[in-house]
Amino acid sequence: MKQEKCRAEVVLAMKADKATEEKIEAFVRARGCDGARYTIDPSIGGGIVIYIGDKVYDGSVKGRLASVKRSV
Amino acid sequence: MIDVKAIGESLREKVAGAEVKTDKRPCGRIVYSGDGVLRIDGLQGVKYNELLEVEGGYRALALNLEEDSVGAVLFEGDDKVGYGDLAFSTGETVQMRVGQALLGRVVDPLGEPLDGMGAVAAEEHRPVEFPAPAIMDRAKVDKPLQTGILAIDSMIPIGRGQRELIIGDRQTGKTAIAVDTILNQRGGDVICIYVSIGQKASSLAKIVSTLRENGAMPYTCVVCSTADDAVPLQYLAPYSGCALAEYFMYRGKDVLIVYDDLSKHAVAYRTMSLLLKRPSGREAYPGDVFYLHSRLLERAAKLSEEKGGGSITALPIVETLAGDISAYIPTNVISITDGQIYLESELFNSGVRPAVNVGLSVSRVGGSAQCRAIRGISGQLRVNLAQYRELAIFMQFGSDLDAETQKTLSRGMKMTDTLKQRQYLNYSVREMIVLLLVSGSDLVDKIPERKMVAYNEGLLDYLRTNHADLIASVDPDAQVSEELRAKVLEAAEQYVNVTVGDEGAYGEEEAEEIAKA
Repeated sequence: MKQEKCRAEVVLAMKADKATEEKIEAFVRARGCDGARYTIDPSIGGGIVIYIGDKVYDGSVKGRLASVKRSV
Repeated sequence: MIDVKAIGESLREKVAGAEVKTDKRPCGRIVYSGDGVLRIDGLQGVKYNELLEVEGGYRALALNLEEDSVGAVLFEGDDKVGYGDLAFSTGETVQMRVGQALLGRVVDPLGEPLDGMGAVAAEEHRPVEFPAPAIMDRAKVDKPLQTGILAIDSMIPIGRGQRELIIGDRQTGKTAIAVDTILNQRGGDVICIYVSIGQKASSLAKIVSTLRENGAMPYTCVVCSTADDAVPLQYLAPYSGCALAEYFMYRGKDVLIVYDDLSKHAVAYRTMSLLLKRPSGREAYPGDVFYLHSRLLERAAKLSEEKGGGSITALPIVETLAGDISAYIPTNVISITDGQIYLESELFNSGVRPAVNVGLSVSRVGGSAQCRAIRGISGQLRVNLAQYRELAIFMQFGSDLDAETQKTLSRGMKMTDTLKQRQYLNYSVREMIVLLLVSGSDLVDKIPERKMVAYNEGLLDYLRTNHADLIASVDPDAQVSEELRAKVLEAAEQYVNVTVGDEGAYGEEEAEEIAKA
């Protein structure tokens, strides 16, 4: 079955510059998406969160702090 | 004095050591939340009984894996989880914190302390669901677990590794028997775990304070879920308690675990199942309610010597409605366990306490574990009591009775009185043997009816102070010798002569009061 194309959801703390955006595009394309939709949410503190299908790539400051909290 | 600096230092170390990585994990979105039940869209690869984490740090348990969604139940925060929130799978099953540090503590089904005595210093975890020991890993039940209650230890003996059901209506002393059994392990080598499932917080507080006052907490852990806890926690409580018991069993210890009570556990599971829209069966219980209890009670076992020889003795409690032991849950649990102690409110109200119906109560494996001395005497006791009950029915017609029948009746009554015992007043094995010897002899004919309870207590006091060496000389693991029997009866006769000669020793009222207590 041919996988349907999907759009990745990208959450950033602030607007990304051109170079970063390109990197993100490459990342999501490598995982079978045909593009990314950007949301700005300062509450993640910094870094990036990418949702593709039912996977989350959490590289935000908030998420990392939470994982440190779990492990301590 | 708390060393703040040291805490700060260790925290800093842990934070530095913590792995910081961009985690990639499966997630899903919540498409339904209500009554603590979640329906999650997505969440690929989630497994049955997997622990989920919901945005905001709440935990849930995946129970229904369906074609296009996952059904889960929330442990906490069901009013804070919203539509569209993310749920992550963790790849872990539910774990219970285990270790020596849990003894003396009151914890919830996930091992978090509830007694305000600070964090539980236990590093180890065990999965809450764990397979029962295999057949080859088990050994025969051969060691008695003394409850300290004469009626039980003499006629319904419990062995270490056995599962003995305590069943009866409300207010018949089910919990009292379990608590007495825990108290009787003081100074012994048995670790006790009391699991409360969906009970009133007030009655639980009472039990904990009883255990504390009687010095039972150092070898006891209370795992509790009260009636206002989330249903999934009530469902988990017995399994967590069992995980803790297994920790000790696999280290070669003997453990006693009380599940108080499994009918509330079944009700909690029914609530969960109905909310998860699983098909319901008899009495609206789901189809796997038998498996719910059988997989729990199968984990009670006596391990073979190669496996360390530890054991878990389970005392599940089931509450019946109006004495109906043929309801769904009671029949299920009766068929799973190795015997039952049947308590009756009629007996309870007529002053027979513990209200054990010795006719309906059985122990299927405990007999071989019973002390030899008690086994030798109690066989006759059972027969005598059965004869007495048969005659007692006749007596209701008020016909004239011959002397022989009258004697049997009077002896039966005294025998029944001997089995009465006050709460928190446990007998040691040796004391039980003495009491059984005396109550089975001709000596009882000398004791006035209705004074048997007071007499027995007085006799033990008398023997403890004047004939301590005699009690100590009783060997529970050998048949009672004629010589010993004669010695015991001689001492008892001395006491009979003292008290019966002096009518004032026990006034009628005082005896009545003791009988009531």
